[in-house]
Amino acid sequence: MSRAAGLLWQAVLPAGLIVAYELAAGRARNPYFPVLGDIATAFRAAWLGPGFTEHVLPSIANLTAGYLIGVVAGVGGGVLLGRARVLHGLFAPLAGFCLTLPVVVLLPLAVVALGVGSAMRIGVIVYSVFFVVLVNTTAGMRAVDTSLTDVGAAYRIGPVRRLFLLLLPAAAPYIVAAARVALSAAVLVMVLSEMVGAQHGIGAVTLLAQQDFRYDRMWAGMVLLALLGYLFNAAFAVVERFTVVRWGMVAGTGEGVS
Amino acid sequence: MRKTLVDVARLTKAYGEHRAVDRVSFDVRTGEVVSIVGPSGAGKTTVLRVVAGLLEPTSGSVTIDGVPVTGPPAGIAVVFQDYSRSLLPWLTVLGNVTLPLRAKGLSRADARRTATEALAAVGLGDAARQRPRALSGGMQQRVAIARAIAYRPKLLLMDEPFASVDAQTRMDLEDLVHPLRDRYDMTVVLVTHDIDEAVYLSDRIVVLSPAPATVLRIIDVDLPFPRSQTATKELAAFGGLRREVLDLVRRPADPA
Repeated sequence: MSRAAGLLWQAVLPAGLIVAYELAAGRARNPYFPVLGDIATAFRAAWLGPGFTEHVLPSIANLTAGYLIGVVAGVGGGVLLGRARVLHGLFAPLAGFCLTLPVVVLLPLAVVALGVGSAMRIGVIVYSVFFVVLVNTTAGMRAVDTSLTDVGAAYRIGPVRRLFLLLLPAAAPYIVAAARVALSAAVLVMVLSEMVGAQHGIGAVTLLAQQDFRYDRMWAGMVLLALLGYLFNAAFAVVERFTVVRWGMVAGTGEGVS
Repeated sequence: MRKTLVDVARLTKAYGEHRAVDRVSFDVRTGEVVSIVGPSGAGKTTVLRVVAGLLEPTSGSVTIDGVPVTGPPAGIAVVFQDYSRSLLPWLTVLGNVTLPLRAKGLSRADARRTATEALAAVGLGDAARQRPRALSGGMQQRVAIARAIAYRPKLLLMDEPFASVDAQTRMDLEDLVHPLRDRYDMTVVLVTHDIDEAVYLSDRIVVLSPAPATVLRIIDVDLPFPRSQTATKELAAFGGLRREVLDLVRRPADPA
């Protein structure tokens, strides 16, 4: 199949579902399932124009800050836990516990500790990202081939070069995969955090719309979140293509962009 | 008589209860090519790793130039068996060769010049910008050899360096060893399970017994230089040495 034909084939199912929805919604006239035209109007009203700076940007800002802090801290912590046996013994069980603890149950605690502002929202995003990246980076560092660590030792490569040119790229398949999973988690937690005491943000608007019986706007929120998720995933496919796939360390998933 | 560069004295290495190497002693003189041969699993690689400072001996000692080895010493380079895992796939060929040089403190320009020259010396002048995975196995091992010689080691350690390439490539790579040694003034210690290769390349051969490895015999190889894959291997002396080593490896002398 050619590239264009392949892309077209990938579009068949989503396009079919959209058409099917439109037909069903038009026929049913059910307020819970507005037609696409109404959703598009609500989308423009809610997210473009003033809604963009008032709601979309703050959400994206919190997401970006929380995600980046979580990834950097997770990679940093993973390097330490992966290379220092003592630290691994001390912290690994705790990290495993925190990884499986759903961030939802921590939300009340986060509100008490950090209030209902940006600090809390960023904080819970950091939490949701940090442990996924930490645990996987640790595993990646521990899985670095001894052939490579031997090269580093035999050629007396110093700690900074050893970390950035040898260990981190070797662990990259683990780190990139974790960062990708963590991004989905971060979007989820971003929305979730805005459902507690927020007036601004994509999650707040979407929840409020549902409580106000503005189902067109609620659907517009879902569409925006889906689009964001799709874009992030596509961005990650590009990151993978130029790093771990190019190095021949993992096969390309082709997800999002192929 | 040439001066001793490497002195391995009563080297013993045990992994828990299992004794891999038992009081192995031999020396390597400056400028020599010394092979370590023995049946598989005999602890040849263990000996090499201790010499490289990558492994601590249980007892006994290794000294290089009179200095005891306690960690990877300066001035040695290692060519590992598995080129596909010892080259860094995220760096270009040139990047792989310059990395140890930059770590050694060479400027970017010097490292690049030295690396380019080393790549040319192993016949890879054109591959500098490629990534290792784009090259054949034999060419990847040439990159690993270029990385080692660019480091300008006085001692080059090679761990079954030609074990995973085809026979023709193997001969080509073997024939790099002596010219490179002469050109870069190196001493070479080579671990191999290939007896022909050991006889063909060595000044001396250390024959190890099955584990726990002991030195069965140290054999002087008095074959003329330069050596050639055809002429050298046709010599009666080559056949004699080959048989001597083979008999030792296949039917080790009774230690009692």
